[in-house]
Amino acid sequence: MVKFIVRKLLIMALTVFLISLAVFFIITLPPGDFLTNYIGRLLAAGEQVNPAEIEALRAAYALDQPFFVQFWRWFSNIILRGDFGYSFSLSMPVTSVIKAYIVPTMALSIVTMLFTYLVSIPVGIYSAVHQYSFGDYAFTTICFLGQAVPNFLMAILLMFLAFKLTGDTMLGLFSPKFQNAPWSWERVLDLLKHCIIPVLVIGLNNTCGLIRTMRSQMLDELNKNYVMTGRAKGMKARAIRYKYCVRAAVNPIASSIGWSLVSIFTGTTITAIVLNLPSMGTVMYNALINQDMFLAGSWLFLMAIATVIGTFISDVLLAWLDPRARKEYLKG
Amino acid sequence: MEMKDKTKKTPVRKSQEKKSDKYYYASQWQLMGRKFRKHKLAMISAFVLMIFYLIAILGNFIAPQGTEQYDGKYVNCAPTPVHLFHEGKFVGPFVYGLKMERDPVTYMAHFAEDTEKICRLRFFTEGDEGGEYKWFGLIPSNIHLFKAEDGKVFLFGTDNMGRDLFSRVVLGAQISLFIPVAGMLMTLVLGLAIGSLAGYFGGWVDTVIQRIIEVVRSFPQVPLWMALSAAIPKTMKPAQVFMLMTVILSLVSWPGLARVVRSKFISVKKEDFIMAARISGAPADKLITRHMIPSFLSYIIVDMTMAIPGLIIGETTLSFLGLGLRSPATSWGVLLQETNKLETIMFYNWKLIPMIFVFLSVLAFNFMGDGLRDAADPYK
Amino acid sequence: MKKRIAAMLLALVMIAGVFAGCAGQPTATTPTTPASNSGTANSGNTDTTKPADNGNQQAAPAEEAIEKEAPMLAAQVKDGKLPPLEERIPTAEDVYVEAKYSPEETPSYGGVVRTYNNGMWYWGPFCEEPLFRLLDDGTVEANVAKGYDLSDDGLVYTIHLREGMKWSDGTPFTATDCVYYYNYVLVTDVDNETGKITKSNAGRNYGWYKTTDENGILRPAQVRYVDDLTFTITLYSPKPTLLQAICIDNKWMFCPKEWYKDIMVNDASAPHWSGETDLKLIGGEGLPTITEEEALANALKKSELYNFENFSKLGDQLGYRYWQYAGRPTLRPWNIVNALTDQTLVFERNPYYWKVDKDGRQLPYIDTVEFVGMDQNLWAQEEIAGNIDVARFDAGDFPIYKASEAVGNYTVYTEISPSWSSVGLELNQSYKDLQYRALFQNIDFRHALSIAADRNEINEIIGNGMMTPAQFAAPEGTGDYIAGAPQKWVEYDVAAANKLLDGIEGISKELNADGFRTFVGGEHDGQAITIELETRANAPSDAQLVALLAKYYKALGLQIVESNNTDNNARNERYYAGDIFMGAVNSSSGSFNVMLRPDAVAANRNNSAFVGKYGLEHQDALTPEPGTGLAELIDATKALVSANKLEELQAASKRIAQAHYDNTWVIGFCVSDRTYDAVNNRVHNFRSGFVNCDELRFLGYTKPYTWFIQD
Repeated sequence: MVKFIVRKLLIMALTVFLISLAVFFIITLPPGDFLTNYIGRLLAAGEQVNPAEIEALRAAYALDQPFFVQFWRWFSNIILRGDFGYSFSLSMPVTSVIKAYIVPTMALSIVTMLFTYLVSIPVGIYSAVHQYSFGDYAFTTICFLGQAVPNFLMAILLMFLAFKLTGDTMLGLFSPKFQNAPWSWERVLDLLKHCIIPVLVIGLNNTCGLIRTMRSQMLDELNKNYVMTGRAKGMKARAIRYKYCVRAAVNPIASSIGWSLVSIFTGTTITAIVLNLPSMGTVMYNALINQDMFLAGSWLFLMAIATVIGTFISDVLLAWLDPRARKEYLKG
Repeated sequence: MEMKDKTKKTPVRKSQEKKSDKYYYASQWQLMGRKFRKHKLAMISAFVLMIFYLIAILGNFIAPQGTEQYDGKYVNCAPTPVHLFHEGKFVGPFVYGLKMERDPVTYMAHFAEDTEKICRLRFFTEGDEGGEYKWFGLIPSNIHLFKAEDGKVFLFGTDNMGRDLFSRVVLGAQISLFIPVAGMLMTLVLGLAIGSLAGYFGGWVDTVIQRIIEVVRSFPQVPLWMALSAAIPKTMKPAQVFMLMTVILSLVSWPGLARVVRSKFISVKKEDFIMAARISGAPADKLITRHMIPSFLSYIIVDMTMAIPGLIIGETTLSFLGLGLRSPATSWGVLLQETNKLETIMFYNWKLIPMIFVFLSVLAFNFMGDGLRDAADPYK
Repeated sequence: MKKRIAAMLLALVMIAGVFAGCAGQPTATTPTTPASNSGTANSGNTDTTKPADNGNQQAAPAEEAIEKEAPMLAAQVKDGKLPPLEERIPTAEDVYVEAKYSPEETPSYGGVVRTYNNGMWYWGPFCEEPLFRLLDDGTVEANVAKGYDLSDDGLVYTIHLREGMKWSDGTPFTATDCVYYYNYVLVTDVDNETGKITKSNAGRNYGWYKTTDENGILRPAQVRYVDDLTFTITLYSPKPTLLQAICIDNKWMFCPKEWYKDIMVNDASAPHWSGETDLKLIGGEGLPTITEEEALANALKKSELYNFENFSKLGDQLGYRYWQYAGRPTLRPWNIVNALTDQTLVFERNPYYWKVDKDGRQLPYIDTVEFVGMDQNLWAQEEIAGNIDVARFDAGDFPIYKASEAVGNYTVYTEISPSWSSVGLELNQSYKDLQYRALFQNIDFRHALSIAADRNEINEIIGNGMMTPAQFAAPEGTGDYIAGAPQKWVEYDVAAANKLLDGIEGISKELNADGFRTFVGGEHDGQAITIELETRANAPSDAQLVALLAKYYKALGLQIVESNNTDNNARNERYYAGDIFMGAVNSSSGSFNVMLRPDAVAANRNNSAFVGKYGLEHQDALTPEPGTGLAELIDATKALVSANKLEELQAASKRIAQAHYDNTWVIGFCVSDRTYDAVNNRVHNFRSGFVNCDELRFLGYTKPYTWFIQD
């Protein structure tokens, strides 16, 4: 197991490096360099920038250097000093921006993930055990429908519904009243109320996918020989189902935890923009359009890293749950 | 009655016999087709999709207006109902003329039917100026499926520029339905090529490709799409944007396919029929294209079909965010940009109509994919 | 409406005339007592009770009936965390009594008002407190200052301050703070040699204190400390509009010296130092020597919010745009208490606020103002849902807001807009690409663009039929009006437009395969003419206009593309860069009075799209292309800036208006003389019908500190 993890970690490091290279390439894609825009900012309201200062800035960001030098400056700053560069549109270090948004983003993702698993596993089991029942059909239909509506539309529709029902659009994470109030029960309740739409919207897609996986895994298990053997030996169907089948069927789902965290994490991007959530999604969107490339790039980079870590977690979980996978991997 | 029944029974029995014969002689593809036809939902979906694609292909003809045609007189006009009877008399399909009234207090425009004025719908008729198009980009024409004589017919209402939403939905289908398919095809080519290279050769080729796949897969799909689309220059023509969007969509989705192809290759490589072909001296390219790929192509096709809904949603989302195509070019996502507000739904709810088409096409692809998946394994 | 603007501007001219008169006649009597010249602090309350009641006698039991300060402050006083009210506000004679805007009721304190966050230039003016304040009847009112005297020769302004006034952190506000600001923040910001602004951006207001000498050379003013309640501004030559300039441009002619002394560079050996080193002039003790590095480190010591990349940034952000940063003492009714990155910016009451209502109760009534960060798309729906209380809009959004008035429980108020155009197009006359620039500078080209647009359709689509088709020009009834100017080139005539374009050299008469004209010769030979227009963040009307223009100009064989910015600051900053964008559509532009505020129409700044880099001519000495009329604009602007007499000012502003009439740099499509506010019915005492413009500080003009909440 240790050998497995070490090997995975080494590969992970290499992947991170390659990812950063790709990210840097992407952020330098838009025509012209961000400095042109930044100089515009310095010139704001008549402030004058002299050529020497522009040269100094060019040097500071190695803009006059070849791609790889620029990249190395960026990458080494991140790795060695945790410095993600400067956000020119917000006039502050990127690190401060990330700090301000990472907590709500993560919190929302985790709540959504809890929702996803708490809903999909029981529903999946129910659907498999009661295959072709009314409930099974109902869940399958909902899943199909849920997967067919893009996140942003779902968000808009639910927002409208919320307005019709409560007179409030339920945007953001808090009502204005509680936005800056100290923590209290009412505030928690308010937060939960405001979480309903985003969690539903972000989680629905994933939940639908997981329900279907869980259902088919469970069906596979139920049809296996050991179930028959157990029954023949006089075990209760219920006991077999919940003691053995569920445990076996949950394995692949559990190992997907890393993956789904990531997909939820990124799923917040679009939803956050529509629902005005204080999430990095909105920040990244604005950064992209304003060509605030350090900010956009850092976020892309962080999400990619999160994916790598998520994958790593999934792989380790899978290897831990299923020794065969581990052996397979080490063999190559 | 009984007689009739009896006479009918015998041929049925015959056909059953024939059928079972056919069953055993049928090729794999025939079997798959047969099984697919049994899947009702999948069949309906395939039919719906066929109609959608047909409409998209004939879009310029079906749509009464071109993308850049609009009339400031009809901003935010509700759908105009098509009537058959005027004061109890049948006159054939027609719409009433529209009278714009502004509310004296709110200045909100309302379009009331002017029952004095009957505008008959004319079919296969010359369109208005500006509605010119080219059949398949070649033959110039201005014949449109229908048009209201001296009037305006807005089946789905108009948007905030006075553009006919029906026309825009139809023309938007050309982008929203074809970008995903084009993207999928490109994904297919990339995925097959790269996946088979890795799977067939193994060794360092495999390792390198594996690493690349891992890197690309590590990118969160939507943000990567966003980052890449944001880099598309604004001066680009819609056709070029279309191409780039296709590339961007497939750039993100090929690694998934390549991975599947690779693992299929690895497992197929050990199969006897491949071994036999190899021993009999088949060259690598032939081995791959003639023997190995066909053996699992059906799975790949299913996979790809199942991937299209994601691409439709992807394109719609990007356009919705203003990162893909831009007005006046149209796609369903562009049309939905206006719905991003409560007021729109409150006052102009017809602007949600494009949503139905996104919804239906995604659903149809999902069901069809389901049917194909069942059919892909016809021996089960 | 037009009459109203006219009356207002007439009054302004008359007031300016008074100054000019003063300046011209050295023997004119100048009252020596403070608060009696023109604008004075308590001038509005001659008919109300003396505010002395809230002074020392406040403890009298009879007065206890109504609370004189917010309960949240009273509680802090009780806990000993805050001195009692009478120690926090100026003395009874000097406290500012809000007579005119006080509500008739006796409102209770407390509550929150919410509006969207539309950037610092939205919430800045919302709670701004200038030294002097421009009123819509044309007078100048003393605000932070108690009053002023003008010497007989019109050269020395003696400004009087209020006794006992304090910064929001409790430190006394004195003349030192004003003199320090001028000599150590504003003057030191300008390089002596080149005249360029070096760091904090405050220096851009330096120009307003300069007057010309006999040889036409600009000479700065001297600002000197007299005593804690008095300082003087001494001009080289009389300047009839000095107070207006302070009202409009250098609203905050003061800053807390104690707070700034260790974060502002004060290093006579620094290369760009140009400040005075005579420390006596600011009163009190001297200043420590501070280098740029020390300033950055000291700022960070104060708060981690002050983390700036370099001193230039620090100077700009803390020195000029200070109201964005929590912890910086101000004189404003509410101050920001959280970080700019937060989604909702929270502004809390200033316990030392120095204004009281007619009953002597400390203002503001409302505890907190919140500016909720949200996409502009969401403003209307959030106003309807009641999540924000105040939303501002124009004709394009009127139907939606008006139709939802009952559902949203708010009221739509109408304000006056002095725009020259409400929907327009500006082409950057200084665009870096010379081939495009030549085209934009061609008057026939602009003529063609003007007449190829269907103004009636624009009015229907963008203005809901509520606007008037018009060219970019001062509206009838204002002082800058030129007869016939609003009607120039407004007739829709595509054929004539095409004919004009056919006559322009360097572009093709024929269309290419895509239906566009191409450049002939030069770098872009054979390429389609493509014009990218900047739009504001999520402003559907801007996008609509660009779409319409794309249609109209397609008929001329020109390709129009939208360049969208999600962030309005980003858009402005592209403007400031001068030459990196081709053009922009504008929603509202013009000048309320060219003489007083020429910025959007003259060449004195680079923040209007048409003038681009030429707005910085005064410091960069750029030579505009001959025959473009730009030289005349620059010259007229210079004449305006250096004018010493009212006639000169009038002549120069006439020249600027005429230059616009002659050249039509800005193409106006439609104009509306109204803007609107939707205000939730829980907010009371909202004064509508004001002239909504930058000069009068937008919503700030309604004095939000007199609003109160009643659910």
